[in-house]
Amino acid sequence: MPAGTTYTTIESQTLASTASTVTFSSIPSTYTDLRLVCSFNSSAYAVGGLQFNGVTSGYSATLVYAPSSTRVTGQGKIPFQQGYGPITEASAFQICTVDIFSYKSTSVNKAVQWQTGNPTTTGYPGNEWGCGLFPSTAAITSVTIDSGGTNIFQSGSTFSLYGIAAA
Amino acid sequence: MPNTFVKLATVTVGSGGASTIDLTSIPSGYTDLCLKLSTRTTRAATEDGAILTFNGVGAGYRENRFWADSSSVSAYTSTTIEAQYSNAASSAANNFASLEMYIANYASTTQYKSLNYASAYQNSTTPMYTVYLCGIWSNTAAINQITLDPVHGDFVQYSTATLYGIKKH
Repeated sequence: MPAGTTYTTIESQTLASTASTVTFSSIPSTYTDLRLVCSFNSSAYAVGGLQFNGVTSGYSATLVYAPSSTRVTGQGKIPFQQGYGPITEASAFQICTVDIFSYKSTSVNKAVQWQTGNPTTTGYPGNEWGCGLFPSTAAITSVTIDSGGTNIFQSGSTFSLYGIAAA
Repeated sequence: MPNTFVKLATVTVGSGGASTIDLTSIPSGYTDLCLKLSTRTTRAATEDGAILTFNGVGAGYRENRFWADSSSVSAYTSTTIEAQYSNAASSAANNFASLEMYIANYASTTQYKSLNYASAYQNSTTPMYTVYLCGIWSNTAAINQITLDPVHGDFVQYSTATLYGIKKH
């Protein structure tokens, strides 16, 4: 399978100033699945997360942040409970990789998996793996990454959305 | 259509085995890296691990990993980054562990390097383990070399490491 035909950059955003949310809109229906890669510095602890198509209710998730785990329902977003910091070192960026499956289907609810952990070089990083559900059969046309507070995402943070096309 | 996910290098261990796997001269022209491993070692046990270092530097690492088998979840923190697990000599024949690692902003000279991975210890006769790790290397140098050094044994023939560059356009 030729490289580049299955994994394509849809859009990448780099923050020039602080932000509370980042949104990818008008996502094309060209692909099979989506991968979102976030690399960000944050100013405060918060429960961030994902919203799709502007919907603000009905999300559920199971999160593992060993040795604990939890299941949540009726959420306003797919929650990233490991939190967004605060990251006190300007050079330390947290990554969050998210896979969104069958995003354009109009027949199935939308499943999500992610892994993230807030970095620290004085203690130890956080580590969270989760799976979530957006109970909607509507095709996903927009993704919003919510920092969980006001202007928590710091400048220099990058958010990239990739499309993965099945051959 | 521009190439977004590009293979940079593959190392396949030969018949003599290898004490380490080295990916060298990593070019700086990409945004992130993805490393995929399929490994087994000579350790006389069911599993092993491999210590990850960048640019030959042995300091500045922090990790938080957890692993689960059929009945429990355990967590661990360390000042090294370990690719856990690798299959080893006492695990069922022909089983190799799998691991996929994502390294963000590897070429940056201003950011520390954050990574995460998911891996699985494969065994056709006993329950498997799954492992998830988040780690950081507090060094602003661009990553130009990745080394994997087994904790106990040597890598056996057919162990592989493939490195991909991911370039946003």
